[in-house]
Amino acid sequence: MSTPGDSPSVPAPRKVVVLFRATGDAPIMKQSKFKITGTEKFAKVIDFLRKQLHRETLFLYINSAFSPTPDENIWDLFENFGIDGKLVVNYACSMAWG
Amino acid sequence: MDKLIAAVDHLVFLISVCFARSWDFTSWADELSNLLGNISIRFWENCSSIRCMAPGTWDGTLTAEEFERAALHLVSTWERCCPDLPQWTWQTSTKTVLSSTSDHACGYLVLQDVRVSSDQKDDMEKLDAYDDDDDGDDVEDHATMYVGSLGVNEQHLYTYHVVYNESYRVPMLFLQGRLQDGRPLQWDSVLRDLPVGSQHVSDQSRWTFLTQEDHPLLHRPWFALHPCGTSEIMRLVFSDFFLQGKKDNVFVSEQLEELSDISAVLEKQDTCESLSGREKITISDRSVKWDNSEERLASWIEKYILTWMSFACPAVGVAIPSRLYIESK
Repeated sequence: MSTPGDSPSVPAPRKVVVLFRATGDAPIMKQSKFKITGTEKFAKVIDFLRKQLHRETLFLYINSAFSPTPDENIWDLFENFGIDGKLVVNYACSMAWG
Repeated sequence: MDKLIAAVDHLVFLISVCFARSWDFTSWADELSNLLGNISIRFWENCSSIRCMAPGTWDGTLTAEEFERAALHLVSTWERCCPDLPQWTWQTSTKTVLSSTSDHACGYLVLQDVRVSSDQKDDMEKLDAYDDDDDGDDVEDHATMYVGSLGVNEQHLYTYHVVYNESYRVPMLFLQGRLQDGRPLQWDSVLRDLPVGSQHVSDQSRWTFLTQEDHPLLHRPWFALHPCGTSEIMRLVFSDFFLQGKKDNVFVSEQLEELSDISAVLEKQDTCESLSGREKITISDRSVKWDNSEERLASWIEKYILTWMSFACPAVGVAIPSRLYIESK
C-alpha cells in the first residue's frame, strides 16, 4: 500500500488486438488484425481505417450494439465488449443518411 | 398462415350475417365490429413482427409498438446510467382519428435544452460591444438585448425529438435550436453548429442529410435527419444479432480462429490491399441456426433505438455515452 506523498506507479501501456470486419459492401482488408495501445482513443482506429481504405465516410460499430464515439478509450471498449481477447470492429461504407 | 387468415375472414363474415338478422342490428354489429377490429389489428401486428424477424429478410425497420417499447427502454436505461446528463423523456402524443391505426406511435422522445457552445459571430456583430471599463454612468436600458458576458462564444440551446416515421418505419431525429433569448436559429446557424464531418456531408448531400421538415406531431418546421438510410444501417448492424450462438456471437469466434497470427501493428502503418470479389461472409453463408425465442426478440427490440442513436445523434453533435451499451449488453 502506497503511503501519502508517493507518486502512484504508472502501469506499462497494454496493447489491444483489434479485428476489423467488413460488412455490407465494404472492401475487405488483406490484413484485418492489428494491435493498438490501450490508452489510445477510438478516433485513432477511425483515422487508421480511413487511410487504409482511402475512404472518408466509414461507419464503425462494435459487435451488434453501437458505434463508439471518437473519444472512447480503446482499453475500456475492449474490457467491456471484447470477444476472445480481441476487440471486433465492424465497418461499412454505405451512407447512413441520404 | 394463408389458410388461417382465410378462415378468420370467413368467420367474421358468418358472424356479421347472423347479427344482421337481429332486429337490434346497429348496436350488436358495432360492438362486434370493434371487438373483431381490435383483434384483427393485433393479429396483423404480430404477423408483421414475426415476418420482419425472418432470417435474411429483415429490412431494418420496426413497428410503432416496437418503437414505443424501445423508446421506454431507452428512457429507463439513460436514467439509470447517465443521471448526470440531460434526460430523455417520453412525451405522449394526442390521438386523433387519423392516428388510430397501428402504424401510429403513441408518443415520442424529447431531450430538452441541450447547451451547445457556438463560436458564431454573426449574432454578436449586431450588438454593441460591452466595455468592462465602463464607469457605469450609462443607465442600463432593460429594453436592450442582453449582452452580459457572452463575448465571442455564445451558447445555443437545442431540443431534440425522436419521432416514429410511419413511411420509413424507423425512428427519425428532429432538432430545433434557439438563442438564449428565445429567438429560433436559422438554417445556416444550425449548420455551423454541426460537427465538421457532418457539415461536409451536408454540403455533399444537400437534400438527403439534414433538411427542414414539418414536425409530424407539432406541425411546425423543424430540422430533421433524413431517415432514408436508417433501415440499411440497422439491418447491417443487427445482421449478427439474429444468429443463434453457443456464446455471444459464435460467428465472430469462428472467424477469429481462422485468421492468421498478428503480424502488423498500427504504429508501422503497413499498407494493405483491398480484395476484389466477395469473400465477406453473408448471412446465407453462416451455418448457424436462427433462434426466434421471445426473449431474444424482446431484447432486440429494446436495443433498436439505443443502437440507432449511436449513429444518428453524433451526426448532429449529441454524444451517446458507451456505458449505456455496457448496461444493456
